[in-house]
Amino acid sequence: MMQKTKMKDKIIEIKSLSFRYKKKDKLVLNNINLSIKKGEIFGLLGPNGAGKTTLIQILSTLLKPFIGFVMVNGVNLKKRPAQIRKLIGVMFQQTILDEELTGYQNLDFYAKLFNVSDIRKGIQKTSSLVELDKELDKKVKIYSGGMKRKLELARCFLIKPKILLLDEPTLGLDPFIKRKIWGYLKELNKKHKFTILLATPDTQEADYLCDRIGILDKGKLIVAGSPLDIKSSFECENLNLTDLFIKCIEEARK
Amino acid sequence: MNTSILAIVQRQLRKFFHTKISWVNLISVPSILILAMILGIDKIVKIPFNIAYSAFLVSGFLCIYVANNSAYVGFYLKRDNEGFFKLLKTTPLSRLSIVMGILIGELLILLMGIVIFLILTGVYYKIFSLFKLVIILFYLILLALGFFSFSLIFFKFFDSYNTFSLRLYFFLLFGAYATSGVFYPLTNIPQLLKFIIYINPLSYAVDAIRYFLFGVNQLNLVYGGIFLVLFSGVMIAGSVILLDK
Repeated sequence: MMQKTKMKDKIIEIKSLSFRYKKKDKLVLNNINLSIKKGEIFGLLGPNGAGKTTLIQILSTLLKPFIGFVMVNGVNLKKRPAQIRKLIGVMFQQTILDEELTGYQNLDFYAKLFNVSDIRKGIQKTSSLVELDKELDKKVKIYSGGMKRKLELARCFLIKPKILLLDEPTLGLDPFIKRKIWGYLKELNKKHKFTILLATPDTQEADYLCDRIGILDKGKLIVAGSPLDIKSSFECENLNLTDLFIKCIEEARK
Repeated sequence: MNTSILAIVQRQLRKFFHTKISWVNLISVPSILILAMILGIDKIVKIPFNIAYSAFLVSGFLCIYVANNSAYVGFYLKRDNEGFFKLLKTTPLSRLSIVMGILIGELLILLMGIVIFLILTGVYYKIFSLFKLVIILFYLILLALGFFSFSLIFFKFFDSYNTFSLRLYFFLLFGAYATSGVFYPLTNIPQLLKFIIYINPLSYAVDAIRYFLFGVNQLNLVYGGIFLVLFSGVMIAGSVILLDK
């Protein structure tokens, strides 16, 4: 019974997942097994080139798994990617916005693709959440980097996804804006129970936001669990997350 | 029409109207092409037809304008694979709907350019016929669909967007332009290259539009029409099949 409840709680389930870009290439992801629970914020930590972005791209249906299987909200990703696209909001590493259009027009377009019912109200609500409601009439090309990231977040929230896939959402932002974005994510996760998968090389970000983390290196998932559990499994309760992260990677590379 | 496709069409148009350089290009390209010809070329070149050389060139330039803009769409989508197109691929829309939306949007923009081209041509050469306009538009849309689908197929086979694929692409395009009778009568093309005329869809389009505008043609119009329909049909079908999810 206990096991059944646990299965029901899982929103993402990855089993024996391997991926390579071309047949003769090295594996970018190597036998990944991971479960993410409904409503949790899961941090995917790893150095550059660890495979974090590839995993996000597989979950956002841009890449097909090479070996293994992935279930998202009980739907097989390989067989029904279209169904999964209705459930996810994605924020990529690089900003993807129409710079020549206004903030409002960017949100309006995305809302129409997802058939959002009351677009005007939705835009008003989500833009005020990220404190952009007074800037919506301006063209995106005059937005700062932080404002663009906020607009992308509003775009994700607008479609009310079950899962948010965020690939380094605060890359290149100053600490002040970073904190703001973390705040919005925490608040929305608490209010709407979005499940968030956050890929980041920033241990501080993971420490602030994540309920559980997974450390990825060279395509392999070294460890996954709550920071506290990981610390105790490595018998180093006094380490901060940055030191723990480095220790895990060093141990795995030995 | 599906609301999502409509949203993409609206986005393409909004982007176009919000970008000043697009406006300038839309008006200046047809104007400069026609003005440049009118201003001097007729005085120095004579051709063995009962029309001015500038009139001979107009139909060809119109076709190149359409082919070039349509061939650019596939290239644009490939280039945008890491940008807007990537984002669209994570939405519930099918790949076909995405491409349809972009295609319709680009066709509408292209149509504005064609209309400017035809108005300038009509005014200068005193051609005022709605029937001719409809037939010419039909040919140009067929040509646009064919070249657009061709560009999709081409870039589907080239995984990476690299120098080799781009050079090959432009070589094929410019080869088609050069052998379509845009600049000189088809009879003047070297014997060795003559076969290209018959497999080049652009030759038939140039020839037909020249006929409907100025009453001059060198190829069989019926055969040309059938060839163009088949070319566009095969290219569209090919690109739809290749647009797997």
